[in-house]
Amino acid sequence: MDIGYISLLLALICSMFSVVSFSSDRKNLVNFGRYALIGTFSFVTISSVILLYYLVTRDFQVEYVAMHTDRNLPLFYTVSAFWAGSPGSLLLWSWFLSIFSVGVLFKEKKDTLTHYSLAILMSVESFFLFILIGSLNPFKRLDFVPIDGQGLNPLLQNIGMAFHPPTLFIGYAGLAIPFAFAISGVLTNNEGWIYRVRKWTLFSWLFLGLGIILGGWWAYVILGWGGYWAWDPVENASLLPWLTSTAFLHSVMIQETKRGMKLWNILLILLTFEFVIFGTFLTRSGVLSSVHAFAGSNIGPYFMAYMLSMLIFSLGVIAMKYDQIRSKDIFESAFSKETTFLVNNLLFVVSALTIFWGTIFPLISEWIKGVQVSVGPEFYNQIQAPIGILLLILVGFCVLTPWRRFSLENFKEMFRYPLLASLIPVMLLLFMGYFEPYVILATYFVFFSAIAHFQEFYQDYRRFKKHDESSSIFRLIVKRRRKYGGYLVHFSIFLIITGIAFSTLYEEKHSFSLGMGEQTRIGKHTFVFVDNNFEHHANKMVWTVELEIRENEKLIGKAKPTYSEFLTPKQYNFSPDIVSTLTKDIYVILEGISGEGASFVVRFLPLISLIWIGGVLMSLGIIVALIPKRFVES
Amino acid sequence: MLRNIIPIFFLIVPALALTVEDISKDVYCPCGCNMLLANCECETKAYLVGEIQDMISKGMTREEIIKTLQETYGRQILATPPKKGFNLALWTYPLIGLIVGASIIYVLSKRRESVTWYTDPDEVLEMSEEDFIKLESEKLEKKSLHEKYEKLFEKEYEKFKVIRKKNN
Repeated sequence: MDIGYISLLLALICSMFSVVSFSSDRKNLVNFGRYALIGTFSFVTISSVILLYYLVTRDFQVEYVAMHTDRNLPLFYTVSAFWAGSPGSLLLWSWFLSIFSVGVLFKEKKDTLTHYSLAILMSVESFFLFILIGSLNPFKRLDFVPIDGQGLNPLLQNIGMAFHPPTLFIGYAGLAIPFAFAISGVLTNNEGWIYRVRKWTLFSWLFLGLGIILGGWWAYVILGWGGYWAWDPVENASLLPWLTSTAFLHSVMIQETKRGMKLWNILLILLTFEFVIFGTFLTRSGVLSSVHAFAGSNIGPYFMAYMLSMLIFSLGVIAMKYDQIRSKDIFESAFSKETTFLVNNLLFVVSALTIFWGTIFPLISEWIKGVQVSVGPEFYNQIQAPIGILLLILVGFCVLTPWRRFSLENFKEMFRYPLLASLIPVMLLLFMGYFEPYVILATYFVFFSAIAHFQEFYQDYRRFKKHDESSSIFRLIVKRRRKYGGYLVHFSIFLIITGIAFSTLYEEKHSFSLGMGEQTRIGKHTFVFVDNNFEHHANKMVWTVELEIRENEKLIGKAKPTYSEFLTPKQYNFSPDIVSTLTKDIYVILEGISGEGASFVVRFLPLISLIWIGGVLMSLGIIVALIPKRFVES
Repeated sequence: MLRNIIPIFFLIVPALALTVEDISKDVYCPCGCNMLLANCECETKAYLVGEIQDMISKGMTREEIIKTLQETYGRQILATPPKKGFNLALWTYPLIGLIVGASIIYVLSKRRESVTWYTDPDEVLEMSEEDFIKLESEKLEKKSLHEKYEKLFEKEYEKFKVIRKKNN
């Protein structure tokens, strides 16, 4: 038996002991649970290190190594091959969860709330370890030693794909913590759980969001169709927990400020956790075809049973303690910040449930009607675009609307400038010839909401200056870090929406062929075929073509799209090259090479870089919100 | 009049003419990549685009082309299920969700009663668990003080009623 496998078995034993120990109220047993938890983490770490060792040393007798690497694979991608397949990625998931559990053990108060949470976290860990041991053993050995491995899928040999899965898994694993604390909070009648999960939820949300954006960026730079989101089942599965956790991050504020929406918050976090497991299951089960899915396996029934049992267990706990968690959800006015949060939650949850429904509808149709259907981008775009616009309107209203109640005088005072000032960019757009209704609407409400944020910040600053006698903007931001961190995240969403709207609706696509030294003109852009090159690498042959791109005769960049033929696995790949300017990306893909000539597809994608800038800003906003209190006090 | 209509007709016809792009945005590439035909860059795409172009040249309508493609490659080649029959369950679901959710919010927003707020909500949002526990104990202290004085008041009032009765 392989030592990595033995280590996994020991980890499972430890994690199961940990579940029993932390569920007990006996002090000595709880102490034992702590050691068992550290044991789980240590054994999963040992297994991970062993798998990494097998990958790096190219031990091709290990099936996983033979399937995902070969002798010519660069070291960087050999390491990333760790999560290229289903068993490795599940091991990584389990490793992250064990790290988080150790974090909770050492960072949180040592009381029943934390101990019960750890019991739940360790039960999740046990489930994943059970799957690894029973069905997806990464240490499975072949009866023979292959001369070479099958190599890593060429599409995965990209920096984006090296970081996208681990980032996503950190988000997935981290979101188990709020779930564990919520259920534990219900069991122990302790409302303190909402404070303890704050940093963990934000941290996981940061990584989940980053993972989604990295995935989109990878699709954009590698797949060669100029898009970043295809509403593929696996993409959808990663978006679902992000949407419901976003709703939770908003609704939890109602619980913090006036002890409302207690039951709803618990249900939201339960839904988020179920979506996390659903995403993990969907990627590995092979029940739906996807660009991103791993090869199908037999783990579907286990995951279904687990999801169902967790749902029944959680709902059972909630029903048992219903009287304690029932809150007086009362609103002093129909128009207040609280009600905007309710509408926000409605939109996020409807958005998530619609995506979930669209994702599983092909299965439902086949199951009930025996008819196979596909649900493509058109369905999602038709539903999600109006929801996106409504959320955009709502965010401005939410910022301007005061807590508790809202009067007509408030409306005039708070809304007039944002409502009027946002007409200016719209008029500019119309003047520039942009008439698409979605773009006009999105622009108006992006500016309305952005100005609303600035106005609110300015008024806060004035109040702060008056009362605290300080004019430091930095101090104000740090003092209200959660609020302004949230504002930064809102700004990032404005950028992302603008980027999506313009790059989708004003995309231009052109095809042309050129011989060496020839040029062609598209509008104010000239493309000149200046060079071509052939390189023979250890694991691939690469043809590169160099195009000079001029705008109004001024050189703005050189695009070097490539055609690669991979030796292991035998596969070919057209890699695009992108020349970015402030206002647009010029996305060049090599479509074919013949003799001295080459044919190209060029896409002009206006403002697409705002999506990636938005991703960076979003992370920054969450980091601001995560600034620890001790830093503020010092 | 006719002289004005004819140029408009010629302007409209190209706008209404079916293109390969119209179809390829709504069908999946059957190569197994799970991408729309418009986005895939494989050899199957080149073949299928040729087929679609032929069908357009023969004067087939969009519906006829889709039907032919579905007969050849399976019903799931169509990326957007039509809004009829069983597929209506797909399209109406979001609307039902919105209506149910909005009704719940409407009922909730009708509830009126004075609610206890700890302090400035923006301040509360920056609080830690310790601050919350402190705030709760202060609230409990206030509540017990309030109860104490209420009892005292009741007692005094009872005394007052007795004295008043005596005086009367």
